[in-house]
Amino acid sequence: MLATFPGTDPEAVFTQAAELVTGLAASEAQRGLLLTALAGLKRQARADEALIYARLPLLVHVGCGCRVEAAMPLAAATTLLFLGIDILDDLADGDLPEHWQARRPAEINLAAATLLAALPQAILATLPVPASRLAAMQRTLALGLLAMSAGQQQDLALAGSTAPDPRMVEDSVVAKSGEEVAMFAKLSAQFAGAEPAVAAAYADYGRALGAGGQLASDCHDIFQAEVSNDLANGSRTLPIALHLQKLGGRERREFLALLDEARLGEAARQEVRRRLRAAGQLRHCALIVEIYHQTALKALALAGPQEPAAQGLKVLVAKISFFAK
Amino acid sequence: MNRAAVEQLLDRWINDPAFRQELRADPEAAVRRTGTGLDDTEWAALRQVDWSLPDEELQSRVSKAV
Repeated sequence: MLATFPGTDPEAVFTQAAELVTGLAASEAQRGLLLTALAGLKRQARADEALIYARLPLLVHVGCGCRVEAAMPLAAATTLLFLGIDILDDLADGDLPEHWQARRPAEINLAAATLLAALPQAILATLPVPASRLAAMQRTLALGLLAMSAGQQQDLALAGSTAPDPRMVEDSVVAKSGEEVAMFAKLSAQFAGAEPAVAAAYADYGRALGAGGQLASDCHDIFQAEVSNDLANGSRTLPIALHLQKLGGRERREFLALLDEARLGEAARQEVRRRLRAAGQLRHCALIVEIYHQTALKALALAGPQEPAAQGLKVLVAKISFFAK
Repeated sequence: MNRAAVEQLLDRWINDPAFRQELRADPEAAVRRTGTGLDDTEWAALRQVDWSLPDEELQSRVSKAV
């Protein structure tokens, strides 16, 4: 459904983003740096991925009764925002993709800062909307980035914690990933001229989609991925926090020691995975993700998108569910 | 959202084989009998969950599609 959804071709969004980067870059060297980043993101994008950063603004815009073509620059801006955030994540995790091999960390950091703090604002400023609407959109962007920064800080503080509170873990996911997607959805609704209540409902939809999607992705990292970056980095994602909460005394110390071993050894990672599954943490997380799925559907009903975008937005959020396959 | 109620349900699902059977047969009735307070969204999620799905199958459904 998503692959063929009319007008939401991510290829067109990448092309638009590359054109905007090419036009806005202040030097040839900067242009090269930013286009390297964009080409890397495009190469990594899998055919079966939802690519929320590119598709969601288009679907919301069409859902508000506007033409998809008009939202292409905005979708390019949200793609560049996502890219900047993704680069910062990779830097924090020490997990940089191959296309950065020829660049120094300081230069990669500079690319992320430029993608977050200059290009989206410059692109928004070119949109054909009244000044008051543009000011509201710039405010949405600034507040979204502030919320995400706070969420990332919370996430960093949780790494390696011996007693991570599952609610704090979930809160940090909502603040980081939830606010990111909420910002994408709200920007698109505002651009379409939606009433504040409708824009807020789209933001609620995005928040639930982003948070539920990240929680599902965290489960994938631990339970399915060939290499668990989260275990290697000592991240305290929800399955681990839920499990640690149930353990006391010697059991807790043993599991924490196992988590330390799992940073380096595959056998320990397998044992972590086995214990979490046996303790029901995968099922627990699946239920929590389902609550986000249902929260998103409820918000979508309030937003009231037009068809066929409404169906596209339902399909998009169904991708996070363990049970809506 | 009421995470404490969700945790209670999952704890019982893990530790009480009879409750596990009840939940597989009729999730809504099983949860109502416990007196657990869930909001509308949590009820909707509870109805969507396939409680008879084995762990192996559940694990295979973990997706990084988003």
